[in-house]
Amino acid sequence: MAAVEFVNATRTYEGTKQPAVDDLNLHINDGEFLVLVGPSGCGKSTSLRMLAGLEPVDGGSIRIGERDVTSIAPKDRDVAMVFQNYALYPHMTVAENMAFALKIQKVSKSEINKRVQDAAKLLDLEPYLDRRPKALSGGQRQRVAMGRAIVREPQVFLMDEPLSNLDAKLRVQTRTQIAELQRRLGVTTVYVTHDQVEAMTMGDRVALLLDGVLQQVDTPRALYESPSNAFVAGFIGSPAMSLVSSSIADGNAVVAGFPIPIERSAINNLNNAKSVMVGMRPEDLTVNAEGIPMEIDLVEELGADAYLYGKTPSEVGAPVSLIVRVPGDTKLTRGSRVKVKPTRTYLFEDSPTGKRLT
Amino acid sequence: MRQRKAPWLGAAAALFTAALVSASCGGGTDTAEEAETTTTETAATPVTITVATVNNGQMKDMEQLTAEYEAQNPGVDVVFQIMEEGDLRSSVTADIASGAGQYDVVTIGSYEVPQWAANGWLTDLTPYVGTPEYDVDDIIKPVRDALSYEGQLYAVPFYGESSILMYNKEIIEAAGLTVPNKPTWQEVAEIAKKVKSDKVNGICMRGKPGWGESFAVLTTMVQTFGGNWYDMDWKAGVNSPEFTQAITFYKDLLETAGPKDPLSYSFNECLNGMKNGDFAMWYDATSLAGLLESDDSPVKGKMGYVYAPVVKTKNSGWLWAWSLAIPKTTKNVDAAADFITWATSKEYHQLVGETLDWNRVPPGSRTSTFENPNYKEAAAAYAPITLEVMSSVNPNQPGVNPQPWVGIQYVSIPEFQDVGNQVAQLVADAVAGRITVKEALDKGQEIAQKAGDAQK
Amino acid sequence: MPAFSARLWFSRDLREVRLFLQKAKSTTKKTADKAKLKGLLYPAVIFVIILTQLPFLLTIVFSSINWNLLKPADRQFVGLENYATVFSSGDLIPALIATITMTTMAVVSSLLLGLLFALLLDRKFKGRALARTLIITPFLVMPAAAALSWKFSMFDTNIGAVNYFAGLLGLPEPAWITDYPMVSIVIVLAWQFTPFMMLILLAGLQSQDQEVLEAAAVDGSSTWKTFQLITMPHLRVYFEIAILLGTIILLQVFDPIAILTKGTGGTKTLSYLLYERAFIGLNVGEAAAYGVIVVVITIVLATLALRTLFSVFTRGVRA
Ligand SMILES: Nc1ncnc2c1ncn2[C@@H]1O[C@H](COP(=O)(O)OP(=O)(O)OP(=O)(O)O)[C@@H](O)[C@H]1O
Ligand SMILES: [Mg+2]
Repeated sequence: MAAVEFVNATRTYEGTKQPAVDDLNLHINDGEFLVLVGPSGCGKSTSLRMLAGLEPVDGGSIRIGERDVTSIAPKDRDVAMVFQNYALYPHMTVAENMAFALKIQKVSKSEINKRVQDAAKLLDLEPYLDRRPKALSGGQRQRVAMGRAIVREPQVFLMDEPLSNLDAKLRVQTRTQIAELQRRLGVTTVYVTHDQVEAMTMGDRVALLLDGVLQQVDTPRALYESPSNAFVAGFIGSPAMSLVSSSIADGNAVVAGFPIPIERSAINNLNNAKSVMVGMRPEDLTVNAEGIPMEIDLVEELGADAYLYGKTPSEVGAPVSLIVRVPGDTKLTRGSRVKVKPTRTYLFEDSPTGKRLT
Repeated sequence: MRQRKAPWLGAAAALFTAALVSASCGGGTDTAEEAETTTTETAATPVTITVATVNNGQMKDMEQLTAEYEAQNPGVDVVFQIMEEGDLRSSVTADIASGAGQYDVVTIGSYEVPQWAANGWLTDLTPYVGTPEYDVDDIIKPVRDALSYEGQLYAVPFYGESSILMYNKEIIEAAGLTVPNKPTWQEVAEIAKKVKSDKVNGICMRGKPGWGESFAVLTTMVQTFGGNWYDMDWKAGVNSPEFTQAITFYKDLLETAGPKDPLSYSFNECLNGMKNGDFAMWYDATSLAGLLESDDSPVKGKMGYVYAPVVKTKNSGWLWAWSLAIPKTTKNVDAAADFITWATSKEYHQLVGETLDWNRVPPGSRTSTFENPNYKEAAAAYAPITLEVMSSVNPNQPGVNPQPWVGIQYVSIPEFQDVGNQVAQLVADAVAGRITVKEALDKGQEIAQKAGDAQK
Repeated sequence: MPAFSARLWFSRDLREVRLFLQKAKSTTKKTADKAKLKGLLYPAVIFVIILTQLPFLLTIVFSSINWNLLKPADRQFVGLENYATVFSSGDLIPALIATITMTTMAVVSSLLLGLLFALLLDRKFKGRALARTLIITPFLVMPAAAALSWKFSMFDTNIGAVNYFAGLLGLPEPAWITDYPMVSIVIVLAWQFTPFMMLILLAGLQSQDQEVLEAAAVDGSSTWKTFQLITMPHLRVYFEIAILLGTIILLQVFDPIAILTKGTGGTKTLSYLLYERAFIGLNVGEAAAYGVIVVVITIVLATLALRTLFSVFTRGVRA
């Protein structure tokens, strides 16, 4: 087990101008479960593959524990990887798949047997040990891929969207299993997903990437509570935070005619900008006599809660979308007009990745 | 294999079929698929004559000049099917033997003529060649003899050849040697060994196994050494002392002064070697002299030509004639006969000389051609010796002892192609040193005797 | 249905064909129609059987007749006499040995070379497409042309490239056709069939899941180990296809023998022997008997060879 460190790590694919991973600096603690999250194409897999040694590092370096592994072959890095499509060895049985790495390491037969048995028990794979991957269901294959990683007792686990091929229910179930397993084994883990719910529920810390650039890395709670920019704020949280580009008038940010006071500290950071990005989480908006006018497009009933999806009416300027959480017994329906008042706002510089002002 | 139900079997089968098709298109000498069909004139005509012929220069000239014939004979359409020698032999044989009647005129060798005539497959041409214009007596007599069966003529020669010794005068003279006009094999061997150096080999001879390849040369050698394939009682003589002596002599000569890779040498390879100046001497067909003397040949005018080497006989040249014959199965006998008498006439030789080149006149069939001043001039280097040799060989008894067939470098029995080939392969193994000459000839004797027994 | 299918035969309209297929698909779900459709298959199957097996049946008939093309008068039924001649001639066993030797040597060498080139072409490099085209060309050359060009421009002792380079390197310059007939033919065959083997193996290599190879690398496997333990088992079925097809095609090799050696020096294979009996011996009956024997031997040999080969292979993989 070991800590992992990306130091100014950069990767630019041949034939592309923009780096897929750009100057990544990231320290992952020994035994930590770190989730790499971000929209499709943001460079998650590339980062992970750089760590595994499957992708060359064009700039910077990568360390695992005490070792600089930047130019070390994958086979010598002592990491185990779970691939998105599992990449099981098709002509080997489940047991052989799991034993493969150990055989290469020339671990004794009895030791191999023991570890494979243990892993099989842990993952409920005992009945399938003699089957070929072809004869397994998706979830079973996923567990074999996990088993192949855990029998190795490597320094680092790498997992690239291992749950994306599973159905929703199985995904939720397996999610907790993996998190549990990782805590039990205590192996440093880098886990890639594009699903922010997965990221929030599994990771000790979450690193958020956009266009190859690390946006923020922190615990799930901290990411939620204090996003460092508008992109992070919009990405983390479900339903997403409503982000509204607003003009500034008299120290207020004006959203559809409704003034929202800007804190003094934020004003200083504004540098005389004419507009600001106002972020409001659904739970921070309440239906109120005074507030931002909103026309409801959709009411999403979830039982205890309901979410109102709507936009500001066009009479008060270009319509902006809003999501509001209300109690589940709401009488509001599609087409009704309400006013909503933010109880808490986040202010950012006015751009998609605008810096946090407060 | 079948019960292994593999998903790729379907694909395998498809590929397999494709491979088979491509393999057969690749074509060995066993298919007639490569035959080139040319319709000289496609106008609707009452008579079409289909001619099967062999793929070489003189035959192609004939195809070209046939336009003249068609112009003179409106209503006759001559269609050529030109094939490689092996294809021609098998497809013509199959056509006639099965009575398919596809061909009106066939090109066959002197080897086939007496046999096919005996089988009753060929039209007796005697009635068609009696005209004074055709002048059948002008055809060189040994050739006429080789194409006759029981006194009747069954084919007319398109061109004929014998064998001679050709040598590179420069090389021989540089070594301070001379080649006698009627050399013996011992003299030839002496000269070959003397001129042999790192750069030049003494003599080129066909080594590629085959009854018409190595054994065209070897049969003439065997006969002049006093041996033969069979005696008058069809008793095989393949392991006789004379036969053995001839083969041993051939093997030794190849080893000491022949080409380095003898089994790959046929006349083509020898021709290239002679042109390159790689060889001092070459024993092969008279018709090849024309190629050594052609305008693009580097050794043009540098060659000397003498009689085929002998030992116990006076002459040992072979005799071959590519001839035109009319299968019994044709429905157009008269038209076909008219065509072949045209194609082998004096008039045709004149036509070739005047429209193409005197050098391209089919050689070795008519005495009068050798007397034509134009031809004499064009073929000065080899015309006299060709005529002399061709007129002096004796297909009725080429060897020391009488033989029960007509023909020199072959035995006119159906089994001979097969016997000749098998013995040639055995001798090739002996030349390569894989077996001894005695082993080869003892085995060859068995094979030959079986065929001999079938003649009694 | 019949009316529709009749129209289908004459129709060139693809859309109609597609519609028909869709309709057929939906109707086959009903079992009654399924049976009817199966019934429709039999005439086709019988036709195919006749078409494919008729030549072979005729060969069997011919093999019981004494029939020399040049002796039309002697044609008669002789039962198994032709077979007796074949077995007593002493040509069969040497031909069998020659066939096995030549086929095995050619298959093995072209397979190994094919694997080498396939591995090479499986890598990405500049000019790969060109290299692939160049490597494939020998397979597109007609067998006779290939043999001829090898004879004249490669093996020739005076002007051939092989001995030229051998001379430059100070190696011996053998008389190829005279002294090494079998090797010469195998070289030509290997040259021709390497691309064939390569294409099949390359298809195998390229159908391999890249992620599986990466998984092996991450699992600590070296390139060689990965090749041995992952790629080779994956290629097994491709090797099977390559060996099977290669063997079947190479068993019928004819042209290089006819052109290079004429069957001397232990190169008289069954197919060349068969050719000689048929086209030189002109003995239809005997040749047919050889044909039947060759087919039987080919089936037996191919089956045996494949069985043993693959069991060795499978065991090798498991171990
Ligand atoms: N082999 C390659 N060649 C060129 N560009 C590539 C290559 N692989 C990935 N890229 C590019 O690099 C960027 C990052 O790719 P990467 O696979 O790391 O994304 P990702 O975050 O894993 O996305 P996803 O969630 O869709 O898997 C993308 O813009 C992608 O198009
Ligand atoms: Mg990815």
